[in-house]
Parts: sequence; C-alpha cells; structure tokens
Amino acid sequence: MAKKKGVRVTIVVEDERLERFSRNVLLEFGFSRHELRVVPYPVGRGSAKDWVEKHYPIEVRALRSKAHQKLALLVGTDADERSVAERFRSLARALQRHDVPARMDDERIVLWVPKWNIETWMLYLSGDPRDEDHDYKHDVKKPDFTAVAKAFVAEYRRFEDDDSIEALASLRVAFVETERFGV
Amino acid sequence: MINRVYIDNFKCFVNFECRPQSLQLLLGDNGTGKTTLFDVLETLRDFVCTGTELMTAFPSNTLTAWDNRAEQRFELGMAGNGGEYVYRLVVEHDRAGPRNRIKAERLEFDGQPLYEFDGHEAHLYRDDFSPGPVFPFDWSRSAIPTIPERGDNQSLSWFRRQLRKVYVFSPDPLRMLTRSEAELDKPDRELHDLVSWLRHLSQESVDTVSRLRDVLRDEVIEGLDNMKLEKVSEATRALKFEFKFASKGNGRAFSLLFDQLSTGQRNLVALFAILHAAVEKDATVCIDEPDNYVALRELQPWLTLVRDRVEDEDGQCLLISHHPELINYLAAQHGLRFFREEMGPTRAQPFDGKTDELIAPAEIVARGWDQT
Repeated sequence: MAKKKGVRVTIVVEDERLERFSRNVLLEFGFSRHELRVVPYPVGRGSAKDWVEKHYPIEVRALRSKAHQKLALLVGTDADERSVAERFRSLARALQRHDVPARMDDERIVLWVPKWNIETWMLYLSGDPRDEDHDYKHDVKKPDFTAVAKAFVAEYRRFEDDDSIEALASLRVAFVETERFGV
Repeated sequence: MINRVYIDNFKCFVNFECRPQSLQLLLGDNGTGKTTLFDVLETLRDFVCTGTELMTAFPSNTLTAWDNRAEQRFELGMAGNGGEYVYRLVVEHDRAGPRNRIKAERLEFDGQPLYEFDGHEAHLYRDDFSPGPVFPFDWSRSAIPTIPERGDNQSLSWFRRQLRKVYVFSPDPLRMLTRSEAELDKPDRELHDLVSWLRHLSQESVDTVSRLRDVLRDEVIEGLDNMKLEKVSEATRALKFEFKFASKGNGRAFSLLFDQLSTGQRNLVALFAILHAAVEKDATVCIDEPDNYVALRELQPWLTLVRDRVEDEDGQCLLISHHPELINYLAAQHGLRFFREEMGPTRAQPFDGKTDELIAPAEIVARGWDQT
C-alpha cells in the first residue's frame, strides 16, 4: 500500500441514505474509506437541513484554507418540495450570510440535490424510472447501495461522453457537479 | 436479530427491557450496566446452546443486591426465519444453599410453543406446533442443547443455530497470541486466540481471510504487503505480516509476527476480522469498547464499514463506547443511553440529541446534558 493519505473528500449530508449513497458512489469512483470523512449530522428533517446550511460555509472555509491540497467537499441535501435551483440558491445565500465568497467554477465543491429526495435517484438508477414530481421516500424499503452507486458512475461516464443522454433533470445537474471532482 | 431483551433481578437489572436496533451504540456512565447486558447475552447463548450448568451461568451472587426476590427472569426476542421467536427463562434461587433450579423455560415462535420445561419435564412441539415428546429432565441445565435436529423441529433448530451466532467481544490486544496450536471455530471474548480463529477461517472460509488481508493491506496498515499463517511446526502456525515500502529510501522488505505489531494495529486486525467473519445475516455481534488503542483517524472508516455490513448483510452490531468519535457518528440515530438513578436499577432510553444541531453529541454527553 502507498503511504496512507489524509481525508480528500469531506461529506456534509442531511441523513443516512444520502450518506450511504454518497460514500458508495465515491468508493465506486476509487476513493478509499480513509479518504472520506462524513461530518456527523443531527436527526430530523428540518434540523438536519438547517444544519447542512450552517455547516456548508464552515466547510467551504476549511477547504479553502487547504487549497494547495486539492481536497473536495460534497454536500448532499434533498430538494423536497422546493426546486433544485432554489436549493442551490439557498446554499449560496448561506455562504453570503457568513461572508464566504461564492463557489468558483474550478473549486471542488460539489452539490448533489436530488428532487424530491435521494429515493428518486435510487429508483431511477435501479431501473425503476420515476418522475421528479412526487415523493418516493417510502417506496424504497431496502436499497442496494452498491448497485445504485455502480449505476450512478456508469451513467456519469455515459454523460461524460455524451451530455445529451436522457436522465432525470436533478441527476443531470449532479453529473455536471460531479465533474468538479475531476475523477 | 435480537429485537428485545428483558432482564429482572440480575445485578443492576430490575424489570429492565430494551429493544436493540440492528446497529446500536450503548452509551452511558460507568456502572450503568452496558457490559452486563453483553454478559447476559453471552450467558444465555451458552446456557441454551452449549449446556452450561445453571450454577455457572446464574450463580446466586448475580441476584440484584437490594432485591429480596428469589426468581430471576430473562426473555429474548429474536426476529428471523419468517417470524418472531421469544425465549423465556425463570431461575429460582435458593438463597440458603446452592440448589438453584430452572423454574420455567419456554421457546415460542409467532406466539406458539416449540419447547417448554416446567421444572420437571421437557415438552417438545413440532414445527406445526402439535405436541411432541415429553420427557423428564434435569432442572440444573437447559434441555435445548440436547435435542437432536430432525425434520419436524426445524424452527427450534433454527433458533438454536442463530443464538450460536451471538458473539460478544472485548478485544484485548495486549494478550492476543501470535501462535496457534489448533484451529478454533469459536473465538474467545478477548480474542486472545484470534490467530487460531483465523486459522479455522482460512480453511472454512478462504474468501473471508482474503478480504481481511486485502482491506488491511489496502486501507489499514501502511506498507503491509501480505498477511499469512506460517508453519512453525507440525501443529503450530504463526501469524506473520510482510511489509514492503514503495519509496526506495525505506529500505528492504521485512516481516513482523503478530505480537510485533503495535497494540493498536493488533486491535485493528481483530476489529476487521470481526467485521468480515462475524457480521453476517441474522448474527448479533457485540463489541465492548472497540476504540481502545485505535488511532482517531481509523475509527470512522471502520464505523462506516460496520454500518454498511450490518445493512447489506442483514446483521446486527451492538457497540459500547465512551469515545467521542463513535458517539458523534452514531448516537443521534443509533444511541441507547444507559443510566441509573442513585445506583438503582438500570434503565435505557434512546439518546436525546435535540441540541446536537449546535453542540456535538459527545459534547452533550461530556456536559451531562443527555441526562436532563
């Protein structure tokens, strides 16, 4: 084994399924468990979302303090009843409130915002395509995260080759965001 | 998976009940009964599966010190085999002498009897719950271990097999042996004989040992190139680790025996062995303070693997820890706080992390705010 590296991707998410999805996708991209760090999050829908917005500026600042180390920050938060764009704006405002400059195009700050929630992506990537107009949170009983992660990476690779491929709108946004990782 | 534990009149447990999740962190002050819960699970396993004598399993000094009653009660709920099992045991103690006895023992599946002992006779029931053989039995031990598996008692046999898959570990890397004189299919609690267990696994489950070696090499122990059981003599094997460094400046390859690794490294080998070999479908793995001797940055990677394996394998893992890293990662969703009022009976309740938006769970615990 080569010298053990420190954490390369900090993960800020609002619940367990987003955590597991994020970790599995990053493992599928080739990161090791030691290169990932999940920032522990609180329980509860409302409180966890607020917590993500509070922690996002903190972690952006921390990342920028280590700019020479090519680290990354992954933020995962469900859009729920709001639009993906609104969620992005909400996160941008969180930076503003804390006097943290907005994301630059070349920064490895990746935002994954499923619409309505991560279950929509999991169903879609499992070959059960759903629309983004309904909440499918309770339709996924026992996710196969390994298979879903493989499917995400496979679809992402297809998107890299041809960005006109068919995909859920929020997933397409996530694929564009994923390019920031440079994997 | 064990989904309910009831204990009455055993040490600090009086009318105690908890319903463990598939992944559970037991936290709380010293002396609140966390390790004692693991002791009960281990003792019940041995009593029901291997025939431990009653006086060994439940001596009278396990009665609750301030309680005058002579009966102890234990109940285990287990989900599996398409239904729900409930095992009940009542032990009657003779405080004046050594003649403790089983007063009652019963195993049910979905509310129907599979086995019953009334203190004198054992009653067996078939898988369709129709009455089976009745025979006198000794009240100093359970008859369940003696019942041969047959075509019509598969439900009882399933329970017994699964109860054998309750593992309780308190890894003690200071005394883990390097050499093995024989294979061992059941590791001891402290994993002193970890190498003998690995030796057994290398014969019975080659993939498990390969996965263990790969994860240790690729993610855990820097410079590790290979791990193997080396023949020392006809019967003896030693666990050896071979190292090779990528950079030229670090010299030639070398090897170390298991006891030449650091205490923390030995514990990591044990922790990953537990994960890969014991966390499986319907098994319950209890680990007491896995964080001992382990470097901070190793803990979350191991915890994420615990979480993933429990979920993917439909297993169960109960952890005891005071370490902030485990508390912060697990308490909010999986914490079960043990507490006692003025050294009274133990109680357990889900960890209350209402303030953990602002303050990390470990800080809440450090301030004692989880108790208010």
